[in-house]
Amino acid sequence: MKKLLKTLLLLTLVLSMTLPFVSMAAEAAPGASPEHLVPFENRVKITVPVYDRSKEGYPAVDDNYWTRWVQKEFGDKYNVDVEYVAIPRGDVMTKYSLLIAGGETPTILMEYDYPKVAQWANDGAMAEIDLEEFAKVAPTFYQAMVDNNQLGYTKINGKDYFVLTERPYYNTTFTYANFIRKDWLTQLGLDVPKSYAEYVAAVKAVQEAGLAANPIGLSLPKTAYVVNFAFRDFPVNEAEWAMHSSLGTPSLSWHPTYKLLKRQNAEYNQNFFSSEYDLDLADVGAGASQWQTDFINGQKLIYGGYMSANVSWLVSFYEKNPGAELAIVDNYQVVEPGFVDHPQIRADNPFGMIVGFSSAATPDQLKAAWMFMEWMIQPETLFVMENGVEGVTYTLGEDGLPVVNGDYRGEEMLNHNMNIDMTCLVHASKKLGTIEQTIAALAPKGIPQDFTQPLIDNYYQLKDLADKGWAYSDPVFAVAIESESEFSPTLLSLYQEYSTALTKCKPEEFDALYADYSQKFLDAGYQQIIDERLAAYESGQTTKLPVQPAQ
Amino acid sequence: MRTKNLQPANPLLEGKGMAKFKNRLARDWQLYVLLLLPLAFVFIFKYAAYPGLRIAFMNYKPARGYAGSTWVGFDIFRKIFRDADFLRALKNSMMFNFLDLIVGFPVPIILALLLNELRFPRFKKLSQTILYLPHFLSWVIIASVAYQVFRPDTGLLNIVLKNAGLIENGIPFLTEKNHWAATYLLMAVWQNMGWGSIIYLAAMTGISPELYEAATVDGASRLRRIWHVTLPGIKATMVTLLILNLGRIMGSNFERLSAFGNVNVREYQYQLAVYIYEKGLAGGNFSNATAVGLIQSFVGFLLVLSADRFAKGLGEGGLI
Repeated sequence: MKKLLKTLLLLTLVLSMTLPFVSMAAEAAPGASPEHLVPFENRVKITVPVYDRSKEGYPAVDDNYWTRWVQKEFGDKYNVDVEYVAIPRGDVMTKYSLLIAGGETPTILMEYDYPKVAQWANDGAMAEIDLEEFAKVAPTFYQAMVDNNQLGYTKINGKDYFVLTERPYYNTTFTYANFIRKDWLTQLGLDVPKSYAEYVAAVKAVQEAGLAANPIGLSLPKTAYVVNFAFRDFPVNEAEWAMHSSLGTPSLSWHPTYKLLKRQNAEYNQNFFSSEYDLDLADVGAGASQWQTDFINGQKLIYGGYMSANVSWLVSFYEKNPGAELAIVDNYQVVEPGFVDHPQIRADNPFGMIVGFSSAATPDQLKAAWMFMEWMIQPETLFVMENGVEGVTYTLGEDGLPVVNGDYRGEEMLNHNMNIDMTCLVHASKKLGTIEQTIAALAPKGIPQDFTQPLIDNYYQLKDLADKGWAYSDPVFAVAIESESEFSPTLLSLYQEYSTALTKCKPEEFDALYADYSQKFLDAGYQQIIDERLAAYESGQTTKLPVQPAQ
Repeated sequence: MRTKNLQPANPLLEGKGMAKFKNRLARDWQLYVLLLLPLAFVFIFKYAAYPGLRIAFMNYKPARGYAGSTWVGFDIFRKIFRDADFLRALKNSMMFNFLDLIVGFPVPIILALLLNELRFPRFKKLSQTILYLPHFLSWVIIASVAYQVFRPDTGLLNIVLKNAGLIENGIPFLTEKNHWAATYLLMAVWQNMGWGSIIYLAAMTGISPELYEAATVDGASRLRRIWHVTLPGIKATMVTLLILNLGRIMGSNFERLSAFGNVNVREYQYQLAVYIYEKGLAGGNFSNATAVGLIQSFVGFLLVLSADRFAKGLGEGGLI
């Protein structure tokens, strides 16, 4: 017995000493080596932006295992220094402004919102590009643009400035999901709500049962995106859509926003939200907002976010609430006949990042940036960057597809959302063969519930909305809206102030206050913006609304 | 009236002066080397940036540089003075800086007078250290703690007051504009009073003990000694600091405003630093930001000059 114990101890000791070396020995596979890419004779340096979401427990976005891997696999191979520049996710424009002003414009400039890149192009920060030259250096990338029908979005003021990345299944928001406490609903004898009436009943039942005093979270709008799609007329008037539907400036004075805030006001006055929600300045879905913290602590009925193999707030939720059960919220739960007749949603743009290049870049830097994009879009490169090191950050499943270990926190760990802030340079989300395989790859791992099938069902429900014409995007302008860059920061601050006051006022005061604030908002610059947008629309400088069938 | 010395300079004296200077340089060269650092700081950060002021007179686009941007004369200034937001920010800045001065200026003096009267050296040192500490905390930390303490429903203070039965509803220390103004001003007093008292305490050590002894012999009470000996003894310091503080009436601290700000108090929080950030830096409109900065500096300079003249009129030495 003693001998057996000794042997076991020795074995444990040997294993504990050797295992770390086994782990350290595992390295990420090499990236692609496209034959047509030739190394530079002299060293070239490029700077590449990467979002900094200030996420706790994650490595620095501009200096980590994967930035070093990029340098080794691309930089050293082609004689290029690849330097990442951290861009705070909540203050993109200020950071870029300061970089440009300081003569440190990154070689690559990229953003998801068209008004921002249009401003950079208009202000001379971006170089005009020759798409034929681009196609020669980055044929795979260019072909993807052709296949995704994106060549109509490369121009501003008649000149080519942008290349566009792919956004898989763009007309559905399948990578985002809202979760509801199914265990609470079961306890109260309720189903997952499928209409607004059921939703209100569920919230009130939770309040009455004392499970949560303010079951719903609300955060201050940190971006100009107003989630008013469901409140729009259907079919929406195209000119109105061109004037108001935008991620650039919030549309306070537009009728759908009135309806959205009116509902929010009614909910606030029924204590759906905390009275201190307006003091929480963190980004919902990105940083540790109070809403997220409360959900993790079992004080909220619903919370949502982008899906990936490593969703840390879901892991924390199950740790804090053992035995809790979640379900994905039905997309029809906003419908309230006469007020919201269809669950309209915002389809994303038919592209992900809009990518431009610094006007201060040398021809070699420009070419190096294009080579970098061509290298990254190769499936071998993307596979490694999005899954990591085999046996460490992922394992191969029986179907041959990678299963990412969302809990892994070692050096090789993948950054936010499976390194999406690096791979967004070529596509907006991880994509495998079919939608089912794609969702299986990005369904959260390391938690007691498997959401693969519910997420697939959610996708098909969203696809159904899109097929009915209820999913559409914002207009894209072929000219820069100058007044937008001048007034939008102020208008966002005003929107935060006014929408909060409108949410928190007494219901009987709402209409008078809304009329007053709408006028002030228009006077503060919004009128100039919508006039300029309308002029651009009337002169044919915008995309058109997809044909919407009358329902 | 002073008469100018019209006599030619004495070369012998000049030579003597130079020799004296060289002697002093040789003796104190370490001190002069140390002086180089602050001089370099002032030159680089206060003067070397002056050429950049031209941005205020241009439609400046950073990516196009000075050469590629167009001159617009005083257009930016005209636009700013026509902007109701600027006038609101200007009014708020001046109002809050003036209140900061009224509320914040006397407190370090009173504190210094009190500390000066403490007779137990250890207790005095301990008190001073505790009072200096807040100065070393950034506004972000102070505001974060303040929000934890002063939130209307979940703030520590309101919970305590509610549990003690003193209030029914939480006091909106930071979410109602007038309460916010009071909290905002008092937090600055709390942060600065200890540090601000140092210079007065130093001035007080320069007062001759004989004056106190004479006053005591004449039967002056402690308060009388403070009034007739200590305060006159630090009067020159008070005037100097008042002049310097007046120069900050047009200033604006973005860190403090941003850390303490929230959407409910924007009416007061909207001061020049916020205006510069929103209408200047955030939108990449550096011309706007520079023009407002220039206006702030110009008015601040005029205020310092006026205060200096005023002080001289009252018989004080002034600064210039």
